[in-house]
Amino acid sequence: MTVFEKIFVHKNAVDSKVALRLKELNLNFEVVSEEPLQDKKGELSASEFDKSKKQLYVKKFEGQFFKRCPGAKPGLTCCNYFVLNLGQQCDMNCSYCYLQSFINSPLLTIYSNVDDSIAELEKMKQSMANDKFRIGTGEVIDSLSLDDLTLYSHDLIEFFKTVPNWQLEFKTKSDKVDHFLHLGPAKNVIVSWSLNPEFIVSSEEHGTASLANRLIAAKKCIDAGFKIAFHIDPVIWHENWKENYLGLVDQITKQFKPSDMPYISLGALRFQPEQRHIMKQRFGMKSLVNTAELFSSADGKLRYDQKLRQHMFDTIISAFKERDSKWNIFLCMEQPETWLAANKSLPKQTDGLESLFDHNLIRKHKKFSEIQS
Amino acid sequence: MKHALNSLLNYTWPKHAGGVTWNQHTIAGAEPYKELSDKLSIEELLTDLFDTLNFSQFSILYNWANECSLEIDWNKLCQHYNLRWSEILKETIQAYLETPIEFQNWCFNKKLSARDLAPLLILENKDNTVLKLFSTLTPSKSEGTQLLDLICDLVSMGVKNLFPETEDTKKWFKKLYKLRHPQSTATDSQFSDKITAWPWPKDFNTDWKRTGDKSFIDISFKVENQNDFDKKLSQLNYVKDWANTNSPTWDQPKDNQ
Repeated sequence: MTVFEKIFVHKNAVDSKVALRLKELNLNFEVVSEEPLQDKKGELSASEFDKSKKQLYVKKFEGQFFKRCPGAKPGLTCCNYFVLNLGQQCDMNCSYCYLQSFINSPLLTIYSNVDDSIAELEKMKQSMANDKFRIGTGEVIDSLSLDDLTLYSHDLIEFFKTVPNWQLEFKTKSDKVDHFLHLGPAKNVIVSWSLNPEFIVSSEEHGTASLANRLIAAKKCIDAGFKIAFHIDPVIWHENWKENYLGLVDQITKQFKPSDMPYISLGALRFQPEQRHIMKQRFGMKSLVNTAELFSSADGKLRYDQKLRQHMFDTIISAFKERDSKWNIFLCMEQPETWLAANKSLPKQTDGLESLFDHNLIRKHKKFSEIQS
Repeated sequence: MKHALNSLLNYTWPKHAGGVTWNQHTIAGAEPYKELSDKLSIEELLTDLFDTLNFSQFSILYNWANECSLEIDWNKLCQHYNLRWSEILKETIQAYLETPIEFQNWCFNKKLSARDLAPLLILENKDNTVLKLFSTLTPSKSEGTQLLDLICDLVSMGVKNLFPETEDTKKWFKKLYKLRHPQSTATDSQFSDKITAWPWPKDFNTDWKRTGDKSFIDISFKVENQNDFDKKLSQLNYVKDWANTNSPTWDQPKDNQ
């Protein structure tokens, strides 16, 4: 389990399941009546950001748990993904992590009131149970790296079993699945992993599970009756990229079948320009991410040259399709022209991907939210 | 003799006004000095006398206060100057103060902000001789911030030979850019050589260009009338067919990329 240097629990969360679990695990915490370290809130220095991963704060969340994926921006071909935020920050340490430009708190926060998040979903369920929502919990926090502490997977899996048309996705770089396998089968629960060749995992994804262990965990989930998915993201160019990514494709296709997973997503390295400073301070100029040759793109993010991205995507997609044409692969946060070059069609015209890109659901949810407020 | 704070900040003080001190610290002007009441807080005094300060000046103020061992409520002071007192601001100030004075002079003149100077934070040794060139070559603020970004990256990557060959800052930028982007520069150059060799009609202007993450052939030609239009499009079609036959993968990066 992750070791924290300091744990704070707000007094309104002292009787929560998470706080009780901390006591069960003999993890000492300080009860506070207001958020600690508020004077440190704002743009964090590199060392403050490092420290924030070691200081846990458990509190009640007063806002809206359920939202559209914040990655969706004009000019990009985006899927209809929604997120359920049950905390903020991550205890792992990837050099390219976008949280470095997003987090302004010196604390890793877990929201204690998971029951309120489920109540929010229950409300939606009353009028939208038949709509095909895809909901992930790993947007601003790893879905499972702290789940052995929170056990939120239990609450969520039990709820989603009551809404078979909705999909729950846990997105993780950990191998922590043993504590919820007994709750399977649950075919609408997808346990997904961000994957990269082991060379990249070792050099850029610090504190995460090895590629081999992630794949073992994925196998366990299939055997327990869950669906899985993989996100080969971010694809990072390096000298032997082709050999390494083709090796990754081999490892996946030898151990898994297309029917094990509804999709694989693919995305190349990208981040907001202001993030580059903290990345360089924290990981230095030996990191492949910091020495990458990147350019400003239409959505403002720094990305590889578009032709290079295309080439990397084409290589990986072709490798999958050569092994089995049924592999369903989509691009994450890419422009329409990149889609067209890779797939010869946009996602709404691509077999197996149409439902993932049906934006009617987004419009319907927007209307629902407006009525609720 | 210690300089008055206003002269360190390059803040003009009226000649006819006398100098002022506060708690024996020389704040502004010259003799004869008047000692201001110490009932006035140092923060109030500073914001009254120096209503606006850019980042360079604020850094000098910070340095001066430390040298005088003055206890200042930096949170309060920062609010007046639209800054947020934080660890990262302090680190940026310290990094800036370690750079050569010639570089600091350029930053002062161009009114660089803390954000513009963020690249300095990765430099192990801020007192880098390359930075001295900013005051002699005087790049614009926009050019200079881009040059700074490249220099800090290249120094940290251990790349040598960063000095410019001439005083032309645009050429210097090109040199540093090539050092920082060797592969994409080489690829763009290869694309450029490839398309230059195509059988373009003589009155077509063609160039390989890059805008952000996209690189492309830029083609321009004049059209005088409909016949001319048909002729030019037919010529363009000829070039397209020639490229498809003789250079079918022209738009793809080489395999080792």
